[in-house]
Amino acid sequence: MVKINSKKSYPEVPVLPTTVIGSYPRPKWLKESIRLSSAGKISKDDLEEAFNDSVIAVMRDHEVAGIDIPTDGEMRRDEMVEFFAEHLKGFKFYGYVRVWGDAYYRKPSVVSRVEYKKPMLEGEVKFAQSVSYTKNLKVTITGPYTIADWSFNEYYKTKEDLVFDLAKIINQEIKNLVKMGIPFIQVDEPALPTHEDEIPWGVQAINEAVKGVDVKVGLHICYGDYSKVMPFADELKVDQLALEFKNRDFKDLELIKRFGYSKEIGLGVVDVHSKKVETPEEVAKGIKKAMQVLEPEKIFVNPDCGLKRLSRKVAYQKLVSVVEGTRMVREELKKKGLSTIQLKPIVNR
Amino acid sequence: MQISKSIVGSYPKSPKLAKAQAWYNAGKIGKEKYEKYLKTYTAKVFSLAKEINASYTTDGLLRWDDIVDVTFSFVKGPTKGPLIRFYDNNFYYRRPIISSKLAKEDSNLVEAMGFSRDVMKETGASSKLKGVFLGPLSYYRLSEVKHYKNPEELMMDYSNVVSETIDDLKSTIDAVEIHEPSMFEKRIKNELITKLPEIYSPISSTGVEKHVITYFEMSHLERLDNFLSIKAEYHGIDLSENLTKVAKIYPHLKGISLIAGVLNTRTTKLEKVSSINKVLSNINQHGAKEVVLSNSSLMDFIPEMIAVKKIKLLNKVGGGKN
Ligand SMILES: [Zn+2]
Repeated sequence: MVKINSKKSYPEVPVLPTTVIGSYPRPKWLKESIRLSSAGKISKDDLEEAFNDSVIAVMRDHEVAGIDIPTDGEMRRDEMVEFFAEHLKGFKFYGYVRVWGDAYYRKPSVVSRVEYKKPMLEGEVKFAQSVSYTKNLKVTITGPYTIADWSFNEYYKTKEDLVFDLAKIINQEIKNLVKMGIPFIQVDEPALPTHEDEIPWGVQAINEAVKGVDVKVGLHICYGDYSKVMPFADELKVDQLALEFKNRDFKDLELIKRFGYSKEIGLGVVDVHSKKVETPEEVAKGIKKAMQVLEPEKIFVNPDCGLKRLSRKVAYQKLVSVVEGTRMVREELKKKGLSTIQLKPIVNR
Repeated sequence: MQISKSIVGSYPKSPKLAKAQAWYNAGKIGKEKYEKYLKTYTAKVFSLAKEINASYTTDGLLRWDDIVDVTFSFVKGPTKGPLIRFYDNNFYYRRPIISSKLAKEDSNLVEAMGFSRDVMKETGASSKLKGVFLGPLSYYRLSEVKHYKNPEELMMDYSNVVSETIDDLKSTIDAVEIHEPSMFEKRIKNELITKLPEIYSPISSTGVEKHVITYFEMSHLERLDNFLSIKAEYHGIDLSENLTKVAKIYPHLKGISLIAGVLNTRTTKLEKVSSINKVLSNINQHGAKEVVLSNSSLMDFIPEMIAVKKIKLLNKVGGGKN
């Protein structure tokens, strides 16, 4: 188990750090490059250059908007499960499966024991670090439960067996990221609330995935019913729950009180399903609401979810509102002598 | 015991068709061009039915987003709400928001089924064509109800609308398939279940052959007799997802015309023909009157390639005979 407050030094960030959940709209020219590449019209190197350039562009958007803890916008990831299934042993793809309307993904099937081949995110993270305006990068990784839930299981006797094997793999990957100097890991588990009877062992699997990780760890959950997960909040060995609050009109802040939740939250302050850009005042109001149920030192400010479905212009404007709204509240906190916090783990794991 | 085959519910929609639909809805292509796409892909469903010599088939519901989407074509009143998870699947539908009394919407579905009928004729498939409806219980469960004070009233009105729509379709389709995935669901109260035969009475009294089918996990097995007492020519059960419960299901099948869902459409793992044969012999031993082998539920959940492989397995069941 990792003991916190060890000699490791942790970076300082402004109070109410602003961050993102992960994905950012791919620039149009990147989409075009991907299309040309799959049609065999441009080389692999050209595509790689386009990916790299887009990370630079996304980083720049985050920097100009004033985000304290950016990601690389997940430019290289088509979809959050496909990406990891492609890089692990044991998965097979049979084709596209529809999620709704004309939205599809290549739902993978587990056909043999899942195994870690080599670091999956090292390349993209190295590049992001080389062009980032800050050392305080967040890296997102899909959690073991969601990878299993969004795959077909042809091999394992139980889903639970599969999830725990995946947890070990994710743990290896996260540890590699920590070694690379990443100070903030976010595990994405949108599927966690889906099957209520599986949450108890799903939580244990997530703990397995973050075991021994001595940097800040967040858990992002979207779409589901948070009241199903909240009873397990203490058991979950993550520092932070990054949740959608804005598109539920901040009603779920009530859960924090109801369940006596005392760790950190990543407060979703802008709706990623709406083109309407929230004003900084709206953002500030949301933060203040959250401060009624949780100390400001425990609040990170971010969009509800990844921004990739929005236009780049709207996504950028939403980030600007996140930052400006946060600054308004920070001014008030400054008067009380609160201006920075440490980006560090708060639970032992 | 007579044994035959059926394709049930939806067929995996090709991403190309979905794209064409999006173009059509956005006004980028005209109706004629869109229907050409639709025809190409719908023909694939009928050709598959022909290949396995299916007694019954649907048109694969390719025109619609999902089974709930079909209801908007024949029920007047409800508006399309937000995307909601379809049971515990990673598949989403637009929830009907019901703010006024339900009434029948004219023509849409009749035209759609007429189109499918024509496509079927061209493929030379001789299966009986089924129209697909969401059942009253599941319709209630999947909607947001603002207008009705109690679920029975809503279900009764819906049942009447379905019944009138079936009447309109009489000359176009050979049978109807009514889906009740909520039948054995935990969150449904037993008191609603006991009222189903009455709620179904308008549908039951239509002159068209009726297949009522349920699928996914059966949480309340004690409802099996309630289900089988809904008046219909055939009753469909998802055996593939309830393998641990089949021993308890068999004794209820005496004299029943069963649609046996033996192909699990929520996994890519292919069934063993020997296992299906075993199920078949068990059903026979327990005195079922007739069995129609089919996929267990909607096929949206698996890639098309797997759906085809699974359906073709039915050709090998029972020693390859019909
Ligand atoms: Zn999300």
